Amino acid sequence: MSIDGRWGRLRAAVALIAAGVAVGAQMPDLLRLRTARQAAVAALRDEARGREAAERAGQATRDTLVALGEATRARDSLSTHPYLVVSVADNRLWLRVGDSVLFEAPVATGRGSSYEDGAWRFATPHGRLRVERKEVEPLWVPPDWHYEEVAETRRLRLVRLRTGETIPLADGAELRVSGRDVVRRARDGREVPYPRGTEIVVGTRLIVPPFGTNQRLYPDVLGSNRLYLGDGYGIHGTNDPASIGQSVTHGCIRMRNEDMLVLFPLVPAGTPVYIY
Amino acid sequence: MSRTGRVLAVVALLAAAGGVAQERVRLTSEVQALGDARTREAVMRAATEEATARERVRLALARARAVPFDSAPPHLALALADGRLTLERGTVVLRTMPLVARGPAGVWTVSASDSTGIRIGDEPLDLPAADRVALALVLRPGHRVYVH
Repeated sequence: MSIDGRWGRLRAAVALIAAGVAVGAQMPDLLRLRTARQAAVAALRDEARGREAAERAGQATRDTLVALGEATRARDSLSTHPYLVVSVADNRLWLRVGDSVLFEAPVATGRGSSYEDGAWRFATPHGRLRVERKEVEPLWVPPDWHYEEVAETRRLRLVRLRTGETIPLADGAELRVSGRDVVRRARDGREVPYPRGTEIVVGTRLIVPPFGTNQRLYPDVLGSNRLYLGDGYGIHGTNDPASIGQSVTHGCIRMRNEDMLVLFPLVPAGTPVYIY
Repeated sequence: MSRTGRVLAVVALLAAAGGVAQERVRLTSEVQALGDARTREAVMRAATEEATARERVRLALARARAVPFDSAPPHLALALADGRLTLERGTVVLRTMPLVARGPAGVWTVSASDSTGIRIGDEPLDLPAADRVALALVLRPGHRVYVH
């Protein structure tokens, strides 16, 4: 055998060994990659299942939300019908449908104080009320506290006139109820009714007309319109626009007349009123 | 072994080494792609779960809103996307206030409420004085706050 032949075989053997080593060296890596691929496929499948479960849970939540929303809307008309909200702290009123504000205005609300040792409390009631009726050109029927306040302010003595009774006057005339009027009846029998909406003061006495008489009806005090809320409370206009924005009323909710004129046609009877 | 045989053996082994290397590259690329796909799934899953969590808050809020006014305690609803805080009782929206907040979304409770401020946990609500006073008249500790 020639030397060239031996070198050739040796080179071939070395090349075969090198190629074998190259293949063998890559095998563990290959196995590791195959294992990693299997793990990655499993992890991707798990992640996809998790996402699908999350999507199903989200869809179930959305379906419940929609169903609940429809049930609430069907049961509760507030999302489609107007309602009034009054904040006593802000002295402000809003007309809303759902969570949209259709109109808002400053108001005056109850002063929150008591009178005559708590016999009257001049606070705007909190909670839910409703518009019982709508009144145009409403007349104010002053409660007894009005006369008490006037008497105290003007240092007068309060005298309650009852139907069928007479109050003698200094000039021989007398004060009495005739029909629906409180009248001054002269000695000759002539009767002159007192005007509406003014206090009847005789000397140092303030006369309290009985309920039902025209003298117990005050025009203009409540402005052009009133939304009556029951139990003597209402939302109405005013003859004292400077008071708006303050806590000064005896419990009613007072608005500027121009605001009341806008609000009044927008609010049907039965509208809920939420006061807080 | 003949010279031709040796050459063929070397070529066969080299081809096998090349095939193994190619398979390695393919597997590496496939594992990488699977990892990327898993990452995308994880991102989508996290987004879906976050959206579902918000939907659950909205559902809880809807349930609070479904209670009739007279039996409903007042609650706050903070819509993060709108920057709007509402004081509500049942279906009734009593007050709407602008409020920029970052969350987190969830159902929380009022921890303190007076004219100096409203706190949710340790966090005070950054509100104007008029809103604080109005809310303090209505809210009490324990009332719910729905942040969504």
